[in-house]
Amino acid sequence: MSHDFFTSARPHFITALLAAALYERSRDTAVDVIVGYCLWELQKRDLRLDKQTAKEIRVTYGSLDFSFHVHKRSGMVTVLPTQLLDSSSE
Amino acid sequence: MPEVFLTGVVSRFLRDQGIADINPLLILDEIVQLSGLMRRTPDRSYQFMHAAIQDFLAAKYTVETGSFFPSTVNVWDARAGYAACLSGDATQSMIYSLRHGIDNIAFHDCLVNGAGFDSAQVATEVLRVLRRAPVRVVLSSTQRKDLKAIEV
Repeated sequence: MSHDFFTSARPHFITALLAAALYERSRDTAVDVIVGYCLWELQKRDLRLDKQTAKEIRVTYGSLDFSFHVHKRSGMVTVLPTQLLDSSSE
Repeated sequence: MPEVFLTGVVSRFLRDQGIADINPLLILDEIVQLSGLMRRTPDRSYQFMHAAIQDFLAAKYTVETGSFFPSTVNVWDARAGYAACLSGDATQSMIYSLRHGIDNIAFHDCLVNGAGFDSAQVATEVLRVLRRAPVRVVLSSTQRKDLKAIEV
């Protein structure tokens, strides 16, 4: 499975993969890989996900190297690398 | 493709179009010399210049004649991928293709070509496949500076 798999995927499919992984409500390597890849791809492309999904990720993956920036107007969330964390990030 | 086969195809096309007074060999000459789609070999056979064109046309024929059945495909190559994309709904094709590995060409083609598919169904299947079989995942930055690999 190469990074091309995710770089080729449309945003809708990436969020569907993320949803499928989070729906499992448990962590294993496959789930971790999908969540990690999806977040990385979302961040790279500056795509947004919904607030509830971001909350679920935060609860399940406390030590993640990503943080979330909540857009107040749309309520959507952008994934940020930790070093870009600022005061507006949730 | 032997010349006799192609001249037959061209003759049939001309006849269907109501054009009977043109030598089919002249049409073949034009295709070879002007279109760049095909080339003629020394033994007067014809080959597509690019395998992708041949695969696409073969896939189109398969779909249009109703003979594309995802459950019976054994090799999920570019041709199968094009057929899946052209079929309108690639969901079943993508799910069947995952049985032949997550990195198969057809699945990738469906993603790249923007095939229509049920994202939730395919995503669930991707997760199932990742859990079932060990897959080597290669993660890289856009600059490919820090290549990391994860074994699943």
